[in-house]
Amino acid sequence: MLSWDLGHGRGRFCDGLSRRDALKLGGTGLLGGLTLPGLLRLQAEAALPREPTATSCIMLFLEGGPSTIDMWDLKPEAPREIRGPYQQIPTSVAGTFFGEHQPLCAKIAEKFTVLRSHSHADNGHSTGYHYVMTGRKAPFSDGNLRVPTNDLYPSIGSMVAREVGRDGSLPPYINLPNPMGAGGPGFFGAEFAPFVIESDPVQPDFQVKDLRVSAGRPAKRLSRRRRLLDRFEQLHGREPLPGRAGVMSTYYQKAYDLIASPKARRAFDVQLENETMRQRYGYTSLGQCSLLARRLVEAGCRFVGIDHGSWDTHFDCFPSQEKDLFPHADRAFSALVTDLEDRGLLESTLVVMMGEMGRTPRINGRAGRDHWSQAQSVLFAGGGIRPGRIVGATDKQAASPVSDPVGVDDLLRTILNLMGIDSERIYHTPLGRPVPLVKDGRFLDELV
Amino acid sequence: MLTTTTPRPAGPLLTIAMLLSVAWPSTAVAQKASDPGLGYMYPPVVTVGRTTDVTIAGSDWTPDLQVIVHDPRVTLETVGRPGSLLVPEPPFVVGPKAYSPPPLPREQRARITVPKDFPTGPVYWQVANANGASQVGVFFVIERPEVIEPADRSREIRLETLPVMVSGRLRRNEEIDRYLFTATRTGAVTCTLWARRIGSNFRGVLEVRDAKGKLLAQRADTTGHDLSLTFGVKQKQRYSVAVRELDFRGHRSYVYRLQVRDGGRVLATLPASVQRGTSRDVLVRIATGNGGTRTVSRGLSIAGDAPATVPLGLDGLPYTVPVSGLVETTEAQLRGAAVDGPVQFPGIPAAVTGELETPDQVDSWQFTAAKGRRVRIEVFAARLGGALDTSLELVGPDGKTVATADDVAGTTDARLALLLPSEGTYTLRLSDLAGRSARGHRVYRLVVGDDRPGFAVTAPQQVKLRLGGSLELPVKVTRSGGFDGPITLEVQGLSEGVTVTAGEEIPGDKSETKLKFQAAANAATLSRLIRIVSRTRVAGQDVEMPVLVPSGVNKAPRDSAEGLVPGILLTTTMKPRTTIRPVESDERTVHRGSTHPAPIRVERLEGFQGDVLVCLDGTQPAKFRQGLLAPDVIMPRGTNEVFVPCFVPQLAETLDAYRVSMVAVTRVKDPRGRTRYLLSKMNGNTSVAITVEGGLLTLGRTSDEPLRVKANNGFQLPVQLSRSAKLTESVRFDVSFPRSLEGKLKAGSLTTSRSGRIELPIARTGTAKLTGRHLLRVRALARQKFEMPRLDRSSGITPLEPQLLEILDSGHLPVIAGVSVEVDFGD
Repeated sequence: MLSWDLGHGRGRFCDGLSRRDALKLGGTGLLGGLTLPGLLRLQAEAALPREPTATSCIMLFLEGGPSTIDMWDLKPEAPREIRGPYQQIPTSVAGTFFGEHQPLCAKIAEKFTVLRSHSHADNGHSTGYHYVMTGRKAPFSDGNLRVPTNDLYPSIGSMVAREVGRDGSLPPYINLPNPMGAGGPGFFGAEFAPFVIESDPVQPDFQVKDLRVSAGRPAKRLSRRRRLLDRFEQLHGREPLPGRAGVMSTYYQKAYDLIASPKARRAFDVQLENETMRQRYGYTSLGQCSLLARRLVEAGCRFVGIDHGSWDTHFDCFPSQEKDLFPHADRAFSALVTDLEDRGLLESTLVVMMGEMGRTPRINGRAGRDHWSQAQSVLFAGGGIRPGRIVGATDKQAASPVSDPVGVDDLLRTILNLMGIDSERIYHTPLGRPVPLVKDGRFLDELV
Repeated sequence: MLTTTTPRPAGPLLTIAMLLSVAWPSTAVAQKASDPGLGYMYPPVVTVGRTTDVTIAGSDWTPDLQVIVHDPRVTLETVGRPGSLLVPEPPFVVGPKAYSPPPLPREQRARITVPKDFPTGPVYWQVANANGASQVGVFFVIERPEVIEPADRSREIRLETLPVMVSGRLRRNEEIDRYLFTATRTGAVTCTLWARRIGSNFRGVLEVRDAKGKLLAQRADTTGHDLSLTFGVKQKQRYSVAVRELDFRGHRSYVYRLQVRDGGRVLATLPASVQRGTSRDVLVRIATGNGGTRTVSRGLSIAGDAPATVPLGLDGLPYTVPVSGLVETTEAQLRGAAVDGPVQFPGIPAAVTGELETPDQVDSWQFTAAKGRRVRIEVFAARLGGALDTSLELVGPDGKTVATADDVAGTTDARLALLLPSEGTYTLRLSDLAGRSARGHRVYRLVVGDDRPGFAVTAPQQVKLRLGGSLELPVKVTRSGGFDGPITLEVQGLSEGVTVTAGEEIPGDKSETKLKFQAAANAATLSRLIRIVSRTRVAGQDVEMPVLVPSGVNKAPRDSAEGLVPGILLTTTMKPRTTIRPVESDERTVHRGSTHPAPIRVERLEGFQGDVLVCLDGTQPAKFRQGLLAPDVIMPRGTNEVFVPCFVPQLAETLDAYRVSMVAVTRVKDPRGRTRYLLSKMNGNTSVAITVEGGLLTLGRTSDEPLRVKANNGFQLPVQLSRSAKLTESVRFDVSFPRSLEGKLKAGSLTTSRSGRIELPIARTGTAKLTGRHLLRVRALARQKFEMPRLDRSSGITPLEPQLLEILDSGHLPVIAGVSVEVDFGD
């Protein structure tokens, strides 16, 4: 007998059938009574965007893969080679425990939600990064050093930039402090590429070089460059410039808009923050980038992606986790959430902290943890998220989800929908292939 | 050095010391090999009949290093002591291009003496110590001195006359070496660059510009075979030739030789080879520059006892024509008026020089032979310097394919050797797989002959034998022409205490044997060249041949036979006395311009109790880049952990982690009482890992414009100082002047706890008039709180800059920022 695995617990509909399953079945004509108009109606209903609860999103991307069993999902009953050296500590939410090196986050656990059951099957850094940011499997092998790696499919930041657009003078999509490895616009083109500062806000003379106007005749020089660009574009008529010239023209336009805007320049000036606030976020790259992200969101940026590296802890992982990685992330995330709340921005700002994968539950022979994409925790705050909760669970070793497994598509769809974006919206690749923003997954109702 | 004898304070101790070492061996997954590496020699030429001072460099060079020159008539004597570790200086490259930098060398002065009657050409050399031996290097004996690019050159070098040979090197990133010459006649000039062929691992670009700077010709070594460039010139006009690396990279090992001469460049001769004892006209195809070619006829008379090559003898064309014992003819001669169709090959054995008119053309050759004849069919195209990648297909009398052939080992030329299966007419189809060569470059020489019985024996170039141990050296034979006789091997020149115990015959039905070397436990540790001689009977004749081994120097060989040497380096080594690993192998966050005290653990083995020197490994992981620096440190007896201060430059990139590898060096006696230095390296996948964040201290210019000052007065040099709230200590300034201003200006001392615009007082110290623009380097130094163990400076040698050492001495870690300020004194 022909049978169909309709999935468990992921259905959007009351009969447990997901929209995707329904479409698949409908496509084969096996589901009695579901006509083509019915299918289209179903699709239309499924695609209806939510009312936006988030106008902006800040994504703290812990590149390399943070260890969930050491941070957010400790297993004190597991053997020592699994549970590691850390103790769990109580949080401000009764019955919820985090790792001992997340004390600041533990104090504000009621302000955010931990999704413990994020899981996928890509154990590569660059390929996993690509998957998490685009929802598409990487068309290249791991280890690719291209920046950005997503030269075909757009990243979540570029999707937001395209769908929500600019609010004011700031670019809608910004990467701090470096370009995100898979944060590019893909076939959306240069218009939706992130603005990248390529400068570390922790540095005392931090400034965004694209916003810096050279000393001596700045306005004159700038306007001359602008006139040159205009004349070049006029030579080409009304058609957009082809190839790289077009890309560069777009970048120049974006940069010119930024330089011309005092508000934008002010938003990037993290040194305007008082010392107490800067110390609250921590004088670390992640801390100061988070502070800068808050300023940018405050000024109208829609999506800030913070790329924070060195979470790939294969060897002797515990010293670097305890002394650098965990304290930096703990301070930065807790300060960001609290600061946003204090300013009344948390309701409209979605904060997400995650990596491209997790770490192996079992400690390896070199006292480190290796790549593990089967289970990782994702932190959500603000933007319509119901706070103070733990969503999903993993098994006794934090090796894989035992309930509510959440995939990459689910995450991306949820972020887009929280921002009021129709995640089913179709765009066409340069070769004419129709591609939805998110090709699969469901909205994570349990988060809201 | 490891000879410190002064009392050491108790507790953790750091001693900044110096050892004559770093590393250069190949990377490995597990424990890395500790063999000394051979970096380069500069200049790479020595004059016959003279003593020449040169600089040699390499890695893991210990004080007991032995330098071995393959030709005993040439002597190489080291002078003084090796210098400090040379971590590349700015400008740095960032991103993927920055990964896997060349090894970090130390340089050593040396003196080479070549006797008067020594032939010009390559001389091979190696280094060895009790850890192993290096790969082979090369230098060239020349007739008369050539132009040597000085280390401190700041502008173009004028080439007074042509032809000229230049030895130069691209020392640092973005370096472009420019040479000026004035054409003495209108016509063609040819530049030839040797880089990969002399062992330098870079791909060059040649650019020619006229006096106005207009680019006239450019060629890049995209295939890794080095390059030549021919271009047209006008009499009395000035031209510049620029040499650079393809990606504008540079390194002290990027040594090259450049020839600039009048005249065009021979692309091919037809025929490509000439027969001994004959006279004939040869067509010479010459590149004349700007894409043009011309063909001239040259009459050659070849003596019956002529050597393997003879000079072409055309004025300005230093080209030699290969000589053979075969009938040599051309396709045009054989084809006559016929345009298409197969051409009859002129018998066996014979050679024909042909040409593919188009990239997709297939030349067909026919010959008739009896069943059972052993034939050898070989194409020479890439080996003639052309760009053809030839393929052969032999079709039998029945129209079916008998055999095909593509690349011969070491070249893209094709070769077939087979027993013909039937009598009749065979068709040989020759085609090009590359399809990229331009017209005039598609010349090939096809040889069809009998495959006579013979053999060639090869072996690795090194035998590394641990005292008391044994090693099996694989020796392989390539048999031809049906030869299946046994081959005996004799090893000559073994050192005392080393014996060969098995494997001295290759049976007739085998293609390999394993020569078993045994070293006595009490043998001396030394390195010497040995030779292996092979003996057998071929076709009733006794044959004796030396086993030739690949030197591996030439990174762009045309033929696998190029660079073969008879000398095999036998080195007896000792067991390492330590293991070394980082206490923390995962990333630690470090600010730009500051210092990370990396804890390193060393375990002593084999009862060793003495001092251990910990220093940077010359063969760093791929993520070591942008000038990371760490001083050599001594771990005294009784301790097994030490902090190594790793200094992260101000320009380090924050995009990805850095990895730094260290080595442990111990001093021991070998069984003969000789002092030896033994190295241990970190396991292949462990290293000190650093994540870089923005600096704690930064220094900037106050203006993008040069600072204009009055020539005869002192002045205030403004800089913009920024500091992180994390850095509370005062900052001291240090100004260094370019050589052009040395002794003419002096910087006043200034220490400040302020931020913002700082003016540094600069005073005149002489009366000489100052003119022009000069770059002044300003550094700000501060201290980072850290309970650093006291430093022992008993060695008196300071590989770090004095200011840095002073701060280290004070029990803090240094934070350094720097900026260059241009000062304009006017005309």
